[in-house]
Parts: sequence; C-alpha cells; structure tokens
Amino acid sequence: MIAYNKTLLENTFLVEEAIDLRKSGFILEADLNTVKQQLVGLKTSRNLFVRVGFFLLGALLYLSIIGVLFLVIINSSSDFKTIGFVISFVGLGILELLCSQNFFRHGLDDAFIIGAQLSFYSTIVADSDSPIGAFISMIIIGLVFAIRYVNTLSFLVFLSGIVFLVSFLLIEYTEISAILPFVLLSIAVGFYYLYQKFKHNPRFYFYSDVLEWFFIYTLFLGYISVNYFVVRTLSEELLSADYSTTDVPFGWMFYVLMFAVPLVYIGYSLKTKNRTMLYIGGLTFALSIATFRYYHSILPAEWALLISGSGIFAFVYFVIQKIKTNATGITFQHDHTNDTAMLNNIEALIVNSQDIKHAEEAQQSKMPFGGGDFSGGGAGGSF
Amino acid sequence: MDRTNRNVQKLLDKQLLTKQQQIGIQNYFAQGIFSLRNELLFLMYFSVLLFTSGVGVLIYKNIDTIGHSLILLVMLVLIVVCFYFSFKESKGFSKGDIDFENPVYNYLVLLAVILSCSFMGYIQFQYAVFGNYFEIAIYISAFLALVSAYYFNNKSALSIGITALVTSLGISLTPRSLINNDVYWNETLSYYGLLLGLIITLWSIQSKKIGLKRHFDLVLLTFALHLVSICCIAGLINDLWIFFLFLMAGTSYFFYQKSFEIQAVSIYIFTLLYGFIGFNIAVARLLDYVDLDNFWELFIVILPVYFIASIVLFVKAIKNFNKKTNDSLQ
Repeated sequence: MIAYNKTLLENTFLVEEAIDLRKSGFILEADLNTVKQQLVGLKTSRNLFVRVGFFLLGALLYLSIIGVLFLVIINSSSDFKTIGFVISFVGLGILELLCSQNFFRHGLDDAFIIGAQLSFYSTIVADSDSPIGAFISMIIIGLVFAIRYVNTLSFLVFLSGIVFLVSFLLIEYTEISAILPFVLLSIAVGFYYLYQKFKHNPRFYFYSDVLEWFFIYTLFLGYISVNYFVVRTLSEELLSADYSTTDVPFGWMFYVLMFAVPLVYIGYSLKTKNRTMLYIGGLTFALSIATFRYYHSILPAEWALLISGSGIFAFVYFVIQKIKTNATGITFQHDHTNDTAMLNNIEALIVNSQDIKHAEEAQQSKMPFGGGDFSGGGAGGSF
Repeated sequence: MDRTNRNVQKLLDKQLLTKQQQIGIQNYFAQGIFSLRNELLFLMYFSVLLFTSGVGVLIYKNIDTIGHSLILLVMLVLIVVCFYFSFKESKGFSKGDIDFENPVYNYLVLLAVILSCSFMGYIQFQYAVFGNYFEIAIYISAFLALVSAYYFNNKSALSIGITALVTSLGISLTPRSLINNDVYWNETLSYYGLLLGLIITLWSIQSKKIGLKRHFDLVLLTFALHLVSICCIAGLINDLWIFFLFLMAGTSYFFYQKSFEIQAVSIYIFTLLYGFIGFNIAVARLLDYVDLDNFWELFIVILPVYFIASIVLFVKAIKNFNKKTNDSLQ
C-alpha cells in the first residue's frame, strides 16, 4: 500500500524522534550520531528552505517534461479534453520513480504530488462543467495519494472534498440549505471522533503527522462552520440571501457559538495539555473578537486597544502569579521540549512594526508643504 | 506523548538508547509538565503593543484639543511609574545576559520605552520644544531606548533605539514600510544609511571584543545588514555604481562570515538574497555596455539555465550552512 520501503520509512521517523530528543536535551550528541549512522532513512529535506528550493526545481522539471512531451505528440487533431489526464499520469509515473529512489518529503516529490492532482481535478471541472466530479475525484484520489505516499496535503484535499461535496449537494439539491453550518459542525464532530479512534492505533504509526493535520483541520472546520461572518457571507453569496434589514436566521446562536467554541478549545487543550489546540483556540478567539467588532463597533478603536491591552496585561500577570510556583502540571518553568531563545529575538525584531510612526509624523509635519495631502485625489470618476 | 513513547521504545529495542535514558524520558513525561511560559510572555508582549497602539491612536485623534495636556500628564506618570518599578526590581547593570527575577518586568521596560518615544514625538509636535530641530526629540528617544536596552538587558528596546536612529536620518525602515514599499529615498540618504550601518557593525564588533552584551549581536547585525544592503542596492542603481559594487561585495562577504560565526540562518539567507539581487543589478548594468542585439538569442537560452542554477546553488548553500553549524539536528 505504501510506496516506500517500510523499514526505511520507520528509520526516518526514528531519526526525527532522536533529533527531537536531542533538542530537548534528553540524549547526547554522540547518541544522536550513532542513531544516524545505524538507521538508514529515506531522502528527506528537514529544512524548510531546502524543501522549498527542491519544490521549485521539481515544478520546473515537471513543466519541462510536459513541454517536451507536447512538442512530440501534439498536433492540431489532438484531443484536448484528455490532455490534462495525460499530464497527470506522466506526473504519477515520475512520482513512482522518485518513490522507488527513496525520495520522501524531499521537495521534488511534493511538486509531482501537487502537480498531478491539480491537473487531474482541473481537467475534470473543465470537461464536465460541474464541480461534483471534481469533488468526488478529490475524495478518491486525495485518499489514495495520502495513503500511498504518506502525504499530508493530499489528505487535506480528501477532507476538503468531503466538505465541498456535502455543502454543494445541500445547497443545489435540497430546500434546507440553511442548516449547512450545523451539518458542517456535525461533520467536524464526526471527524474528531474518527481522529480519537485512529490516534492510538498502532496500525497508523506511519500516519501520525497526517493525523496531526487531520486534527488541526477538524478544529478549524468546527470553528469556521459557526463563525458569524463566514455564515453570513456564504449565505449571501451562495443562497443569494439579503440580510441588510434582517439578521441571519439563528444569528444570536452563531454569536454565542463563535465565542463558545474557542473557549472550549482553550479549556480542553489545557486539560489535555495539547499545545496545538491551545494555539488554535487563541487564534480563533481573536478572530471571533474581530468578527464581532466588524458588525458592532461598540467602542472607538483607541479605547478598545487601551482596555484590551491593560486587560490582557492584568490577566497574564494574574495567571503568572498563580502558576509561578507549580512544579508539575501547568507551570511557568522553562520547558525542555519547547525552544525559547527564538521567541525573544522575534519579539525584538517585530517590535518596530508600529512604534516609530509617531516620530515620523512629528517629523513630516515639520516639512513645509509636506506631501501626502493629495493622495487619493486622482480620478474621481466625475467626468 | 504516545508517539514519543513508542519511538523511544523502538530505539531502545534497537539498542540505540540506554535503559537509563528511556527511564529519564518517561519520568519527565510522567510529570505532565505543560509550560505556558512562552505563551504567557508573548501574550504580555502583545498586550503592551496593543496598549501603546491605543495610546498612539488616542494622541493622533486628540491633537489640538483640550484633552491633550491631560494625556501628556497621564503618559508621563505612566512612564515614571514603569521606570520606577523596573529600577527597583533590576539587578543593576551587567555586561552579560542577565534577566529580572520575574520576566514580566521586561515588558514594563518595553512599555516605558515605547511610551517615552511617543511622548517625545508628541511634545515636539504640540509645543515644538526643540524648535525646528525635530531630530533632537528623536535623538533623545533613541538615547533613552538604548540606555534602557543596555541597562535592563532588553533586546526590544535596543531594536526601538536603532530604529529611532534610522528614522532620524529620514529613512523609515520598519517591516511595514518595507512591505508597503513606501521607503522614501534619495542618494544622500544612501550615504547616511551606509554610515549608520557601518557604525552599528563596528559597534557590534567592538562590543564583542570587550564582552559587552554579546547576545545583542543578532539584533545589531540584522539592522546593519538590512541598512547597508538596501543602501548598497540603492547605490547600485545610481551613477556611482562601481563603488557600491565593491562595497556590496565586501559587506556580503563580511555578513556571510558573520552568519556562520553567530549561527544565524536569518542573516545568512538575507545576505544571500541581497547578494543575489545586487549581483543581478550589476549584471544588468554591465549589459548596458554590451550591444545586446547580437546575442539576445543566447541570452534567452541562458536565462532558464541561470534560474535553475541559482536555485540549485541556493539549496547547496543552505545545506552547507547546516553542515557547518548544526548538522546533527538536520
């Protein structure tokens, strides 16, 4: 089923684990080097820049191969409807070749995984004039690619295929399209149960990264399906409803859910000690606040900033005082497994994104006839 | 956790870990430690930025109204209070990397520094305290920020101080202005920018020598790199480009070496990027002198090869960097 040699694949994951253990300081440099010498793995790019570089090269390679192929086989009587599939199968062939040469999450293989799928889906849409075929092929091919090449992105394509298909069928072929948010929410809940089921299964050992992203996708799907802005905009776009005078049906419920879901995420993540979920909870909570302010501006921006700034400061201070002495569980101690040095530098380098504005203003205002007043005064459309 | 345990077990089975190590790892995870340190401190940093942005907007909206003297007074009180507590908690100046007992005070220092910058800008704008010499307000802000940076060991304050200095030249070198592409430019600015960049570089070398806050190197060199490189690129477009070409080659080489020394991949990549841009501009300028009509076909053939070769070189360079710095972790 898996395109790779399983021993080599396992070795790759074990080396990765050893690297993590080294970073956390559990093992010594010498141990890590022994692990690396003993365990021969697949060809992988662990550095993101290297992977992106190889991805670009792979994309160029794919395009050049197709170009050469077309120079040879295409003439005016060719059947252009099937050309996309040809591209796709060529990509698949090269992908298999790369897999047999042990390229795994290397960058080169990523280019062919993405390219082959893209070309297949877009050809189906172009040929059939209906997205249903594309959604179904996303479900099938996404899953096959995800399983065979242990590929995360393909699995997300598979999940999106399911979500799109359900939404499309509900909107086009039924009268009860308004329940779409709740359907999506229940899909998210279903996904979550599946994830919980698969997570501990040793049979899915190779797919733990894929499952991690399954989890992230599920959390975002659960949130987006109840976000007021998403619900309102999508029903205006897809159902051509008009909410200028009335509110969305069950509007209040989405407001409540929109804040409840992130809070549940945060609370549950603290209980289960899941950092990913905690970050998503924080992010979605901020999005909810932004959504709320988009429709109801109860406070002028400056007061909102001042109050939220002081509020967060006080809250964080309080929490720190509370957990400072804990030695186990939720603590304020330095963490072995979580690198801190980088954060400090990032904070220092992005602090400027807002500060110096005031100094600049003061400076510009001293320039006689300072520019800027005329900006935006171009074509007014009044001719 | 489960996955880690399983992997550790497998490594143990292959005799690549000792039983002791495995027990150590298991014990650590059994404690269920879940540190929120980074998250809480980042949230605190975020709250400081929110608050100071709020102050900024408030000032902007209230300029020329009755409320402004009140705002000034409140700001002054806040600054004094923040500095007072920071001084009280501080362990005093040290050449090395020291920290407050409670890291929260770092953010109090940051708040005080940003507020002082706003305060200086504001009184200069409102009352023209320094007459037409608006730079003085900025210099005072920069001075305050730099002193706080070195006294309280605060990198963010250092970054603000340098940016203030850069601003006083009339260059707005913030990430936002770079993204929005509204860097205001002329040829004299290049020379000022170059000068400041070189001073910062020299300062970083000197402080390394005398052992003064060695860990500030990354921030100092990041600023110096961007400042010098952008000025060089601006210079390459102008008339005196031969001079800037040599300067650019020199600085690129310097930062290339330096990035290995302090093991900073961000500096390494930006050096490569700026070097690449500079090289391309230089090639384009050289092509000016050549009659392109004769071999533009060759040019078109070479272009894709050039493109692919640069990607390959880039990948090789990154791998080389990893090999020399932290190979085992890649």
